[in-house]
Amino acid sequence: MTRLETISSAKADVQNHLMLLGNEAVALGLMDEGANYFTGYPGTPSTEIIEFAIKRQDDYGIEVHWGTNEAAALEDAAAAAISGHYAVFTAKHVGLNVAADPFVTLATMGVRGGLVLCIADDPSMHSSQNEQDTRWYGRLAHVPIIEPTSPTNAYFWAREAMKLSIETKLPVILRLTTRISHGLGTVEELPRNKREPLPYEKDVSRFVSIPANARVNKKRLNEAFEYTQQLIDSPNFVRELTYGSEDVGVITSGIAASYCEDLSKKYSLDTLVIYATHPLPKEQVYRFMKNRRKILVVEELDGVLEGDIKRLAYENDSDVKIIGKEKISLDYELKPDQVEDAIRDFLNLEPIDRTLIELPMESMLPRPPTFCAGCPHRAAYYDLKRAFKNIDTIYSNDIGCYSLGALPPYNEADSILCMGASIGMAVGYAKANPDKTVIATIGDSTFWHSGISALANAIWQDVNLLVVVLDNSTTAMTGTQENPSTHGKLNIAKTIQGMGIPAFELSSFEYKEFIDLARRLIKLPGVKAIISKQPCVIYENQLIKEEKAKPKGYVEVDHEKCTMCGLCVEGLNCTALSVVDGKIAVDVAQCNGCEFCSTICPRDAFTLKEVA
Amino acid sequence: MSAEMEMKQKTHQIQLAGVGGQGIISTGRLLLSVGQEEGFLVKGNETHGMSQRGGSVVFQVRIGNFNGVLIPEGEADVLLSTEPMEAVRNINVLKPGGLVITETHRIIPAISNVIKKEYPPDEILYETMKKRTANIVKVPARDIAESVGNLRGANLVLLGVLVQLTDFFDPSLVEQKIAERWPKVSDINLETFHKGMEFASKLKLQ
Repeated sequence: MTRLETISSAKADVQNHLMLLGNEAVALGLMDEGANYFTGYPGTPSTEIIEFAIKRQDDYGIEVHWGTNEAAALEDAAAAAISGHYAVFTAKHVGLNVAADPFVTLATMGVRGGLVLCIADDPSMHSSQNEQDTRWYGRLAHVPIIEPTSPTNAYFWAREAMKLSIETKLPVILRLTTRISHGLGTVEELPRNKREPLPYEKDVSRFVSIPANARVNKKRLNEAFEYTQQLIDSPNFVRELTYGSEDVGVITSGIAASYCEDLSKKYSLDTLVIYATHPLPKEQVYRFMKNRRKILVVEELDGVLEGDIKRLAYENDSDVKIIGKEKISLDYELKPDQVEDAIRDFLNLEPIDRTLIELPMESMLPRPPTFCAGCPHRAAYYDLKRAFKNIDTIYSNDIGCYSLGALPPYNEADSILCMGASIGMAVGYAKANPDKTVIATIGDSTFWHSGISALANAIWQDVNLLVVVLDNSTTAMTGTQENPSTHGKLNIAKTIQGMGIPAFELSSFEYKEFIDLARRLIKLPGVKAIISKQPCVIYENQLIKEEKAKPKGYVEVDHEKCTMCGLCVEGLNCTALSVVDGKIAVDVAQCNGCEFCSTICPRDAFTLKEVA
Repeated sequence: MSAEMEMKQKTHQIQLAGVGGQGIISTGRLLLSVGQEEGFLVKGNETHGMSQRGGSVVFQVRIGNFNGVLIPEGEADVLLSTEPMEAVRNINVLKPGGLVITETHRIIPAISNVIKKEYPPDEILYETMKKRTANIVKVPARDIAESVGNLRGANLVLLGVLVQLTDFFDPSLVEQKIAERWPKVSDINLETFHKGMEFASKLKLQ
């Protein structure tokens, strides 16, 4: 182990270090530790790990690809690791739910090479539907968890996670959170460790999990976990900051530890940072706490360490007082000022007067995310709203950029649950509400992810349902990653037609044709589909930047023709259109020239101005 | 003791705010690279995912001996905003008496037409900022950038103002990093940056 040396050498000359996102540091660390097989499914805040590996793939001579969903990707990575490779799987926290089935059983089999699961939690749900705490998964599956505390040491701990997997033959979770994944810091790159994959070896008794073998594997897992406990019970997996507060101390991990490190010197507070948070490095933790009167456990989200530490105290008949979630919020990400307030309270110091300016909220406007100017999803929701304006509809929506269709002025979402649920839930909506028209909206990547199996169910159950696949041929929300629709590798319309139901491909910018088609299809019994096919405008702008496509230009308004009916600004909610001094104004820096405003304008007041 | 605590004692904390697509992230990353080039430890954090789609965006720059990537409320030295209402939204991160540098050009959220609510008048915005600090520098950054033909260069004008008004960054290093970051358009971007410095040099500071 060289963690301490690594940190002290960081002072040499930061000028020569790399400036990386935490996720990029993780990818680089894993590649430098010999990882040669990367796969996963995009999801904020985990996406940049694979993206960085894609950039360096040729340099390292490694395999990197996205999967259609997290389960498929983890099964793929598991097979590589069982074959003897050093594999990496990446997902956001809820992505591990999708991959939970392979994950839990894989732990019992273990791997022959190495496998690190980089799972990025999203406390405060900056871009997620919940803020579940991945540390419970380590406990469910008896899998070790390593947690960096900053983008800078994420490089080192990614390498240690791979080493630990190779040593224990267990999959290891490298647990990240938004502020580590999307934090930026300097990273000192250390020499690469080139690892040769092991040759394939068939081992039926271990990798065929029929009950007789599964019972043996359960014992194998227990032994491997016990061995992990021994390895982790060393000073290498913790860092102790000693300032002489003999009576009291702080135990912390993850991003919360970085806030504690910034405060522990100020308050002369002894602090133990834990990098291996499952299993707990019991000897180290007990040594730190046993002679103190009270301990503050500072961790983000659930009181997971707190529970482990309280159990450790109980096992040792210790009467040290352990304070945790009664003083540290269970909800949302921790802020450094919250941590400071908790520390002051713990030390019986007066609270800091944090007088904040009261914002004039009654005057302020919200600025929620919206569809980009030129986004085909905006047009699709506009079309659907007009097509079914007098019909009692249930909109079953899904996860992606098009979730924004839930917001005004579209309001086209009755529910958004999880990936693929638009079609999955549509079955129940249709059966439970036979008097209503059910419409499922789902993107191309989400269709391939889990919409397709739900669609088979809907067809099988023979419900009346219109499925609208918003196919922009990229995984847009996470930054335009490839999926089976990209470059036309797989075609959704043909796939659905092959399942024996009507499916038509049409651009949402074809306003009249789209509405006609939707109204015609909704009258048919059973499941039918429109594939709203139009490329993502971010993807198109990337092509323009790379000089592989030409910009379309922007629209101009003829104020003589415009009657200020408001159809465009109120109905489209386009970031390029606003009302300035009582007139429609076009922000030419925003407009991408999709001309949908022109299509719907009853006065024909917009014209496209092409750019040279 | 970690190396991060043994480094030079200079610290600067800058919060950048604005609207998705205004170059907040590239400006923030540029400042981090300048700080790094000067030999300081740097930490930053940026907005990704859903909020990038035309929503409010922030980037925090921490230069000096910090472990955490977040600026505590009330501790930023400078709040630099590419949009006036976003400056107000982020005002509490600024330390009392800190420096606000804000673009004056408004970006009216598209939602205002949908919910039928007007953008707040300037007086309300600047009065709120004044409760935190008297040091408010209003910059018509977009107009300045357009005057040199750089339609999307307002962030570079504001960067020029920041570099001129504070002694945080060596102007020549900033120039070097601008040229490295945008090699194809370095001339016009440098010109835009210089316009910002020039604007700030003519200001009478309190």
